[in-house]
Formats: sequence, structure tokens, C-alpha cells
Amino acid sequence: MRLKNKTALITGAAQGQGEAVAKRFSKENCNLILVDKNIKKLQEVNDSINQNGGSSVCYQVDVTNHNNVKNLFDKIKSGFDNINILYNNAGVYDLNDAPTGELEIKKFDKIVEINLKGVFLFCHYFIPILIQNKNSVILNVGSVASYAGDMNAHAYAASKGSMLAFTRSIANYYGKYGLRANVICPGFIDTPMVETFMNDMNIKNQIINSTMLGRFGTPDDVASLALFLASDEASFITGSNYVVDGGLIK
Amino acid sequence: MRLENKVSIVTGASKGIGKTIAEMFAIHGSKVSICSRSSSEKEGTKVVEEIVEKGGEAIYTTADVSNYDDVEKLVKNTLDQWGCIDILVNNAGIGMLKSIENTSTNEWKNIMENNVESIFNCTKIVIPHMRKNGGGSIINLASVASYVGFADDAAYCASKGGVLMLTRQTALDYSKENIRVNAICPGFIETPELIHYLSQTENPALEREKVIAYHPIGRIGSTEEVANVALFFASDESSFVTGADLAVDGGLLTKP
Repeated sequence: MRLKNKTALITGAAQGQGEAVAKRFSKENCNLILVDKNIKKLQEVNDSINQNGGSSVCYQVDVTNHNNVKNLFDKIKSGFDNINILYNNAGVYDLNDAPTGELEIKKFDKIVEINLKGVFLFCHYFIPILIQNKNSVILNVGSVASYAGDMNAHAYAASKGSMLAFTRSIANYYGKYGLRANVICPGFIDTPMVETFMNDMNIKNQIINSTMLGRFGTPDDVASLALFLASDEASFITGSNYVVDGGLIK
Repeated sequence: MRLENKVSIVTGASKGIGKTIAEMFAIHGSKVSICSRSSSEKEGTKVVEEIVEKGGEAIYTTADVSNYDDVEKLVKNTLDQWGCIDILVNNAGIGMLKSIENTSTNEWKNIMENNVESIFNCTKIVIPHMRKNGGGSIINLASVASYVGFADDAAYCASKGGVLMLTRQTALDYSKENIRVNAICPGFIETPELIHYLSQTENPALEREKVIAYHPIGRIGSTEEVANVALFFASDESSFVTGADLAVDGGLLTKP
């Protein structure tokens, strides 16, 4: 039981990586607070966890909406004064993202709002709770696009690149409070977010051939790394970023 | 039991990080083949005895891993005992605090042989056996000195930079055979080497404070905290991770 007596707040938990992480954490005895914009799907994940002996509550939250996040904080701050893990999974890869010259300003704003401002809002509100406990941890989700340039999705790359510097800053400042902060950088993971790639055999094969291990990752591959970094096993790990990308060939 | 029935080689396991990795792997069900050079044979044998006392399986070989023939002996002993190798932890290594001008050619060669050529030897000899076994996990001990320079530490920093690149390169060549290769990059860890280093300084207590201040988390790491990373890389939990490096440094690298 690697997360016994811990409580995790996970955003974007209705599907894909967020869902896999929630279920994995639950298996390790972690209490869960799940949030997502899509409350119907989130409720299903929440029910399934509780039916399997887990302990989970869920709330509808749009991570870009300041009032939503503040309301969530007001609602749960008294009931859950022992949140140890904040997993900022909510994020978007937008098919209308584009090279900078052609990218609509509105689209850029929207992507950065979800991928960066959403993460900031959750850190801003929940760090005061996290630092009440020793050994708390923030896990942010970057991408292999945090390192390499992206041919097409410039807003996505900018927002995911920002996770590295933002997270390092949190780690640097809040280390003295015993708060750790790290970034998980997945490669191509088989989730609804990359469905379009999966359906195009050409793109799919291209991606598979670009990984050393010759496959897409599974949400569970990400969950394994998340579990390690969230647990006390990673108690000396902070300010770092870790790829789970099957060895992306440069 | 995250490594049940796996066979691991851990080099330089008579003390410090290597010793803790060997002990932790044994607790998680791995059979462990450890080695150290003859000068620490007694300590190495004791590590094995303690693992066996606790119900684990372990063997010891006297081997200087910078010596190719010694590594062949280490691998042969492991295969004679258990017939296969699943995990190789290239932990053995040495440090030296000298600027490039103050480093003699022999000292330079000595660091390179112990920190880089040792990994070349072990990896080269073990890979055919991992291939036969359908895959494996190789874990190299690099350092935060793989990313940033430290004062008066020329040969060591160069060697650890080399370990990181060798890790990435080996991962590329052998991923198709299901052999994963990853690096662990520790910050300052509470090891006999660190304690020895501090004791040599003018004011050990002050020097310790300085070392602690490198880490935003406000302390020096434990060998268990490094071994936890090795356990993650060794287990199937990291099956989509190769060519990667994982810092375990209390935030040292976040400093400007």
C-alpha cells in the first residue's frame, strides 16, 4: 500500500491518463478528490473506484475558471485538510493548434489557459493546504513537446515547455516546506487525446517507429511513474522532469 | 515483491548506494549477485551474509569492474548460480576533487576506467545474456555532475557526463531487443564516501551545512532514496521508460 493514508487531488480525471492515475492511486489505498469538466464521465470513474473498495469524491470544475477553482477550494478545505498529492493532469492538445504565424490568437489563449493557467490556479489555491503536511507533492504533466520543438502545435509546445520552469520554481521555493514538485513528460500514450493519430495508420506507424520500444505507451505506463513520484519512495526527488516515452528517437 | 525471481548484478555493492540497492532488490525477491574490489571483500561478503540471513539469495564475487577479465568472472559466477541475468546495476565508481591542471594523466585515466570503462565492460559482457533471456534492464549510476559542473572536479564531471550519454546511446541500440537502459543522477547522498570527504575538510560541520544548502529540500539524501529509483527502473513498472535519466537530488538542479 504505497499511498496509504494519503489524499490526492487529481484534475482531468474523467478519462485517459487522469483516469488511469486515479485508479492506480486508489489501488494503493489513496483517498481521491477527482475533478473534471465532464461530470458525467467523471461520475462513472468515481463510482467505479468506490465500487471497487476505493474512497473517492468528485466535483465538476473547469480548471480555467478562477471562480470554479476557488469554490472547490472553499468546499473542500475544511473536509480535506490533509491533501498530500496534487496531480495537475487536465490539459488539452487541440487539433486547431498551428504554427505561430497561422495560429488564431483566441486559440492560443484557450490552450495556454487550460495547460498553464489551470495548473497555476490549482497550485495557487492548494499549496497552502499541501504544506500543512510533510512529504506533500505536486505532479505536473509536461510532454515530450516540453523539450523538442513541435512541427505544428506551437501553443501546446509553449504551454508544456512552461511546465518545466514553473515546476522548478515551485520546487526551489517550497523545498523548505517539505513540498516536492516534479513534471511527468509522457510521449505518445494511447488515450482519447491522441485518437486522431491512432485512426490514421500512416501517422500511427510513424509514431510507433519513432520510439525505441516500438509502441504507444499505455495510460498505465504513466500511472506507474506517477505512483512512484507521488509515493514517499521519491522523497528526495524534486524539481525534476521525467519522460515516459518509450525512448523517443531524436 | 516487485522483482520476484529476477536475477540482478549490482556492482560496487560492499557499501553506500550499491549496498542499499542490493539489499532492497533482495527484499523485493530478486536474486542478487554483487561484487567489489579485493580491498573491500570483507564488507562485500558481509552484505551477502546479511541478505541470506534475512531469507534472500545472494552471491559475492571479488571483481574490479574496470578489469574486463574480472567482469567475465562476475558474469560467469552469476550464470553458474542462476542461469540468467535480468538486471544490471552499474553502480561502482569513484570520485576525485581536482581541477584539470592538478590532475595527472594517470589520475584522469583511473577515473575514466573506474566510472566509464567499467560500465562499458559490464554492459558489453551482459548484453548477450540479456538478449538470450528476451530482454533486461540496465541501470547506470550517473550524477547531478552529468548535467552541471562542480568546482575542482574535472575528471569526475567528465566521466559522469559520459555515463549519461552512454546510457542514451545504449538504450537506442538495444531497445529493439527489449533491453532498457536508464540512468540515475543522485545529488549528495549520505554515503561513507561523503562522510570521508567531509572529514577531510577544515571544518566538517560547516562543510556539511554548505552541502545541505545545495538542496532546496534542506537535507542530504539517503541511500534508500536512490535505491528506490533503481527499484523503479528495474521493475516492469517502468516498461515504457528507456534512455531516460532520473535525478534524485532534493532539487539541486533547480538552483540557478
